[in-house]
Amino acid sequence: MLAGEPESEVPVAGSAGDRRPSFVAFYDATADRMVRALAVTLGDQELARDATQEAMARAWRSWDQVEGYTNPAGWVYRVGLNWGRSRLRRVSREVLGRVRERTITQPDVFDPAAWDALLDLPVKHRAVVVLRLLEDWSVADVADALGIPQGTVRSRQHHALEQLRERLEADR
Amino acid sequence: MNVDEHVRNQLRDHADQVHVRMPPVDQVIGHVPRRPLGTAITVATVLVAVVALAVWATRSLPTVDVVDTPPRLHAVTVVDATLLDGTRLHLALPAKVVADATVQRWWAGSLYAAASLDQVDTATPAWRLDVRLGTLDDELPDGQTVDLPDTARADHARWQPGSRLGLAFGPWIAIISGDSRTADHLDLLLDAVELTETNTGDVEYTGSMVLWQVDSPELRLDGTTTAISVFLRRCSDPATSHTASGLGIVRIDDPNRGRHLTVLCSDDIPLEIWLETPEPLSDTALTHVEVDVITSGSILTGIKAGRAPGSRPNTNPAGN
Repeated sequence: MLAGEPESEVPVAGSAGDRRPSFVAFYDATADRMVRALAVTLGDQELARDATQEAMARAWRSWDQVEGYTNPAGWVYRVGLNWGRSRLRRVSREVLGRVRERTITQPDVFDPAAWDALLDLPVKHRAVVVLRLLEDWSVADVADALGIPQGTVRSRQHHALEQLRERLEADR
Repeated sequence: MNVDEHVRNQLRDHADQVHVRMPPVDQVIGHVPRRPLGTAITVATVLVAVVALAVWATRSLPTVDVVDTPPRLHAVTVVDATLLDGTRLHLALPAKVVADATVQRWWAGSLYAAASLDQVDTATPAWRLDVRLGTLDDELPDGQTVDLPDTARADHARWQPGSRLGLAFGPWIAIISGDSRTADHLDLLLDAVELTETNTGDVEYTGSMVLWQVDSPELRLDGTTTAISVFLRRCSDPATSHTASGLGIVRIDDPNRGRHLTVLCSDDIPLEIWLETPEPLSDTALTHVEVDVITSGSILTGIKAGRAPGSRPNTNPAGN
């Protein structure tokens, strides 16, 4: 890759003026929601904001295409999640596993056991739980957003909740 | 215990305490992807400082007259290029070539099942690996989603029967093509192929299969009128002239494509660089072109050591 170059990978079709109002409306309606969802999934608020910003910037540059998707917010979530996971993977290699202690901030009013159990879920399971239970998306929307079959959404949700149930009951 | 409700409440409690907020939409529309805003501001500040310093230096230092050749013909842009095997190159290339060749980028290599480079499993076919920024939706829109085993390293996978396997690693996608992909081969590839973004924002292959040169560029940048290709191999054609740093220059005109090809060759390093331009590049324009190897990756090291894991497939759009 070339340093110092303009990083334009996707030629933008159509004029920016035509696309802007619908993108602004989409951004206003979903950006903060995506930050919340990614913050809970990734366990890092700052990373979630960067990931959402990255995904929104890509959505804007391909808005003619993304706008036509069934669930553009799902596309943003997936791009943001992938970007964030890539960052976490890189950081975790650099700090050899200290990333969780460094990045995760626990809220004050909280069940620590439940939160620990959530964080111990694989990210791909946590993503399903977040989208299904926090965002209240349908199985079909989650499958579309994560690029996995609906059956996989159901099985991941089932396994995640089973694991959480076992952990929570063991802690009581 | 109603786990669903308990978890839902915990998620909502946590989400309610997320204090960060997104910036105004104008800031995002102007955001350059893959570089956090703080970094972008820092880079912009540094660039402004460098330009200011250059202007000051130009005005303060004695000027050098370049007879017959306008200064712009000498202009080179110094860029860093990272290949999939981890090889890092420091390239000084004609500025007008670099400026245009940024629209699309491809990295490529061959994958071989092996315990080490010296013990390639010849019973297993080799695959071609192509990498770029993007999504599987764009690259394999008709492919079937693959349910990943826990051992898989990719975030998502999509399979286009009889054609290609796509793997997503964060914002990067890997497209694997080859002659044979049985179910066992699919499992092997899912377990063994991995891409990692480096701390410079480049991508590097970090999987367990052997990565080797492919009979097409290991890195290619396509612009609207120019293209840059980097091959890890030794030049075969004799040089007709040389740059100031000793790189050999070979010119190959291709009137049918309307492009002129300039090949830069190193005597010391198995490295070949192609510059495709709409007009021929003069020796003057190439005078200050230079190539330095900052880090030798696995392929470059293997070639230098005289290793050769097998044939080199060429089946992809990045090929020439």
